[in-house]
Amino acid sequence: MNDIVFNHLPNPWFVQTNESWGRLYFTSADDVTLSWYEYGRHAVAGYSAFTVTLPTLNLLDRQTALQLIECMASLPENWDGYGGASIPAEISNIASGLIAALPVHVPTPEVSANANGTISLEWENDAGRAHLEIGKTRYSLYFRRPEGAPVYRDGSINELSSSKRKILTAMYPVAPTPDYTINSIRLAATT
Amino acid sequence: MPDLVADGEVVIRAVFYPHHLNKSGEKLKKNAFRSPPDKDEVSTIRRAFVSDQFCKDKALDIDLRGRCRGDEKKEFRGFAAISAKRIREFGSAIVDSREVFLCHADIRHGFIVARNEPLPSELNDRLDRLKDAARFIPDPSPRAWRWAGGGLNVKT
Repeated sequence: MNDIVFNHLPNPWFVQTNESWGRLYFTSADDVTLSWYEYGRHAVAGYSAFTVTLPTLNLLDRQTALQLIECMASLPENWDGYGGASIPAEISNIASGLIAALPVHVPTPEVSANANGTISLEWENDAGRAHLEIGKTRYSLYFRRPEGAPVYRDGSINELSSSKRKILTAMYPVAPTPDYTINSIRLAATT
Repeated sequence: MPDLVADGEVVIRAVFYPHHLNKSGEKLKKNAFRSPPDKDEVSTIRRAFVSDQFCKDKALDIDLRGRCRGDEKKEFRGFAAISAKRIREFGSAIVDSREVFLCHADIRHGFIVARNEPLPSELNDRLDRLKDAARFIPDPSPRAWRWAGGGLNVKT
């Protein structure tokens, strides 16, 4: 499994109990603490380099995306200076629930707020590019592969689950480990 | 200046972070070509009839107005350049709109989206293709008055 150096720790995982020591918490989407790492005096608050495994990184990304969606839910009218519409709670709740329920081997999508008050989630890998836009009552989804015709899906928000599952399965078919363990969190040398 | 935007023309769109760029600020997002709510118009400038500096002046004008209003979190970062021919190839229109200011043109996708509802998937795909066909030209000093980036152009 690849290790990735993670240089910036999102705040929810950084619980500082003292100026010079504390615990770094890793939690699952349903807020259950999976593991924690105690760091010492040589760590700089929240910004030291760590190496983490890919599933762990996905979990960290999930939390960042969920925070972002929370911020989007509080955007005022005209948030972009071009008359951008605010995003109702129904939409942000659907987007959050979808991200929280992603299998751990599926990367966290890039999340964007759109001017018409919707939220977009995007994935891209060698298999193609998928874009899901979530509205209040409807969704739109496309999947474009390097070759072949794109797949387009537009429908009621209640039908979203099956379309999304088909496309994500096509993009990320193999789960490396059905139940992952965090076994490679190391504090890198600090300068 | 002709009313018709010729296929050989390049149009320029001011790009703002974070709305039009990815997290790292290096790549365009499809939102750079998305219309505002209740409208079907994406503002651009007809490059053939203006200088690079004219484009920068207009972009900074938008940027400063936003800052003055105080509640907008957006920063000017550069320009997207795309040819009129590519815009039409993907199924959108590019029309002169000199009533806004001389040399202004609008990209029109032929669709006005409802508030809090998504664009049709085919249109989202089209915006993605427009983004891929456009060239992002970053401004090395976005707050400076003078344009100091590369030439505002793209292969037509």
